[in-house]
Amino acid sequence: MNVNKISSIEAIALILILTINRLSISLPQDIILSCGSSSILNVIYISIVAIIFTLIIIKLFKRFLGQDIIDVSNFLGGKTLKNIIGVFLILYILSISSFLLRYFAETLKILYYFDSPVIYILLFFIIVCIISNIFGGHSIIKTNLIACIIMFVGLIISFLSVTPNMTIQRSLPILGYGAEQTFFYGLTNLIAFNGLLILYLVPPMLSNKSDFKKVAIISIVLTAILIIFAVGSILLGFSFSTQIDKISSLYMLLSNNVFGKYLQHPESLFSFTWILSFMSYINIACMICIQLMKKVTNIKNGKPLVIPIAIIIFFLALIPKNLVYAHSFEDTLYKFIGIPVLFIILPLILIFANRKYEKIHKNDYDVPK
Amino acid sequence: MKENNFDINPKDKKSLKEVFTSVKQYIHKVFYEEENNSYNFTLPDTTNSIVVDKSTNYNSDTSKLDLNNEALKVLDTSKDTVFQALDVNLEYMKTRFNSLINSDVKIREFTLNARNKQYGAFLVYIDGMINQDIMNNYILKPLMLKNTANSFEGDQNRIISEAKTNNITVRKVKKFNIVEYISNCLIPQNSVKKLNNFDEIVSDINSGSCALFVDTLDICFSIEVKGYERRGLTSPNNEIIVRGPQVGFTENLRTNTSLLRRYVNNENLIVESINVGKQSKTACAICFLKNIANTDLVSEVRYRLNNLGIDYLISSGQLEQLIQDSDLCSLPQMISTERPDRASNLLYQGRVCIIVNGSPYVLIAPAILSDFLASPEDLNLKHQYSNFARILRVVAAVVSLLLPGIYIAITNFHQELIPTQLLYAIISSREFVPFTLLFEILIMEFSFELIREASLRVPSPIGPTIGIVGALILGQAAVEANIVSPILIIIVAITAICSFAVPDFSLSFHFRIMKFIYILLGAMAGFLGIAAGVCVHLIVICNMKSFGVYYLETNPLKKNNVGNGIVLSPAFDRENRSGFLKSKRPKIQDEISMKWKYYKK
Repeated sequence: MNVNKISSIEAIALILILTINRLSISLPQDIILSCGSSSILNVIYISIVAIIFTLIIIKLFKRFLGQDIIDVSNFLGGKTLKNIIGVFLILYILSISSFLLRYFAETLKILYYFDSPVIYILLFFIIVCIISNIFGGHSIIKTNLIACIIMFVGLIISFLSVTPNMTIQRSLPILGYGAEQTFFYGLTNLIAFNGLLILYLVPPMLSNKSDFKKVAIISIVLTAILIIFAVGSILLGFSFSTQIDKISSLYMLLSNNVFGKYLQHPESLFSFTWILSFMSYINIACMICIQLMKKVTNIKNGKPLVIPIAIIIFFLALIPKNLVYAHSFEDTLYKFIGIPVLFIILPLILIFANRKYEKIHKNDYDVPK
Repeated sequence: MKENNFDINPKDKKSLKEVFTSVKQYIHKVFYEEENNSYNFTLPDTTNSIVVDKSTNYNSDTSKLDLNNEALKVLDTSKDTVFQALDVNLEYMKTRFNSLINSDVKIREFTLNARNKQYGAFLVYIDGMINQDIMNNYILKPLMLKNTANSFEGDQNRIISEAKTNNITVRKVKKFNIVEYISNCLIPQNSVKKLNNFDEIVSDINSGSCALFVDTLDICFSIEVKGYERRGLTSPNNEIIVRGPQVGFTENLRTNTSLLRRYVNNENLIVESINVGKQSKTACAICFLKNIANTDLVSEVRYRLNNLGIDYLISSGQLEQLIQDSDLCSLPQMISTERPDRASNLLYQGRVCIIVNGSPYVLIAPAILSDFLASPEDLNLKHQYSNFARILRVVAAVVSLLLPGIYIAITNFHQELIPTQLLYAIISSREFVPFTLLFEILIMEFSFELIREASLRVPSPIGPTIGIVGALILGQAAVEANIVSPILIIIVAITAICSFAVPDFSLSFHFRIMKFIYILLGAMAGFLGIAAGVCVHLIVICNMKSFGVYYLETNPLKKNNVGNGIVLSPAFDRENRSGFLKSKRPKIQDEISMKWKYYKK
């Protein structure tokens, strides 16, 4: 599984896919429910914060060109820290992707497959994940690029198609539930940029290592644009006081939209693109877990790990009792583990690694300062 | 009291140790050893052997290279002229035409007889492009055989007139000139040119002339002896185009190589002979442009052809299956064409052609997915027409692959997509059909495939009849008998028409097979099943390689890929060769190709 030669556009797609999938299920309504009519303001605010944060990450990675957070941990704390961070990230990715999968499968069950057990829906994702990972990382990344483009175009079309139904007054009052809620508590919505996780792992995968800065900035800006579009279209399309937390808000928005006489309900077409990109997401989650395991255990052949990891994702996805539990698990993981890890622990490792680097090379004049 | 003996005997101990060791070895083998059973060839960059042609003045990427590198060969042949020494000329021509590997370039060395004097000489020509009878009877015979015309002394001067005055004889003598003599007396041809520049000589040879070099002469005779196979050539049967050449390859290897020579018209075209098959020893030829094609690609093709342990080879179709990268997917991995113009175009891009004696289809490697959606006509048409046709073909390919599956997915799982009135129409049309939708669609698709296969196998005059009987009469009867619904007939018909619009036969076949899988997936889980199928299909396609090149080039932003993929750019803007071919000459044309328009004095 050779994934150390990916182009910049493939890396951008890799980061985007993590956010794009959440847009089609729970992300926009989570933001709207937390901030109300100030959601757009909140999203712009967290986008600025995320971009600043990305610039800091780029700066911190400058001395570790072509190295990921595992290599940096190894540099900072030796094998122990490397193993701790590696195992922790594997568990985090496995659990978050499993609960997201369950949530998506439950959504699909409610929408189309009410007679089928959820296991039946989950199996489609798991089988595709196994086949894809057996074929290898290169094809997964290429397929992800295609899925990401389809999903991106689909999302933009769906946002544009609901434009006639938007009412600008729905964004009033501009501060929603208050400034504190928007700018302080609303900071937890930073997890919308969970694609940052890939940013910590992508440097060694890039074919041109110096493209890291470009990849990071473009992907975060695109993510921000998509989130603003998604939240904007739902907020302005629905009243935020409406109960939209039942199932996919974007689906509800599209199904309530009038598209014309001939194509009355095209939302299934959009859901087709969502399924495709979600499959790609699960493939990537499995692939990254394998890559991390390879790094932590120094194994060369990751293929025997594909089926066990896919089975773990499958069984973890079966843990929540229903859609509400799945959403609650996912939300808890993001808020209490995702945010501290992505925005505190991993940056701290980078900062300390930089300090150590400075200490080691303080008398060297030919190393980057 | 009896003591319990928990001691393990030494034999068991040993076996436990062995088990432990073997488990350890197994784990090591599974996790710590790289897989080495799969053959993996990737086309490397050949930037260190890029040929810089000084005769062109465009700013290619090669201009940035370090020209001190010895690997960079500088070719500027425009000023090369014929030498007086025959051996030097011989070596020059051998090198220029790569005669050691070029099987159709013939060099005939002989002794020329002129006025009882003998001169060393040689002829250069391309087999398959000259007329053998003319060559034997009117070139070699007069030059080699002694006859009365050239039997007197070699250096005698010719007396034109003689006058005697006061016992003094005054003779007007024309000095003997061997060049004039050969031209006027020994070559009874209507078109003989005396050339000095090697580029002109090579160009003439490429177009079917033969070049005569004589020792001590610093000129060469270019004698026109063209003799292409003309009457045997017919138009291609399966790659029909409206605008473009109407000539196709034949079963004869030499005719095919001469066709390629005529289109390519460049001495860098190498035609390398290889015999395949232990028993049949079928003659095959590898053709490529020496100064363009990636050296590793050519070596890989040669390696695969040289390492075939088969008894016999009859057709290029058999060869294609034997040298393709993967047999896992039914997608074609090499272009198979019967058109010399298409083959020449692809040769100039940097690809390699493989010709099999006895087969009118030439194989071209490597190939990517967009090659199979392109028609040979595309380059002959304006880019707007070509792009319109290409988009149509892509849509047709997607429809032929997915339409029946999507139909069954929508009608079973996603009915809200169908407009209400159409939904009523579908329900009412299926009211009296006793079968499930899946069974109904499988019957229809299977019947259609049967009709298609039957019409191919029956003699050609009956073919259209089978089509009419199958499509019209049976279809109508099936609807009236309530076996199938009329809507389904429309779906199957659209799928069939779209599958005919796919230009490549093999790709169309792949879609025909995959269509059934999508029908089953659509029936199983609607769009979820179709998406799973599409995802796995994409994964397989992305993983496929054709001679070291990934089958799906998905990066449209790469500079080298612009204008060479699904969408064709205008002719003046097609500056680069496809990046994935990693050819020695990255550029096809100058940055400003329409100099007549943009270069004003």
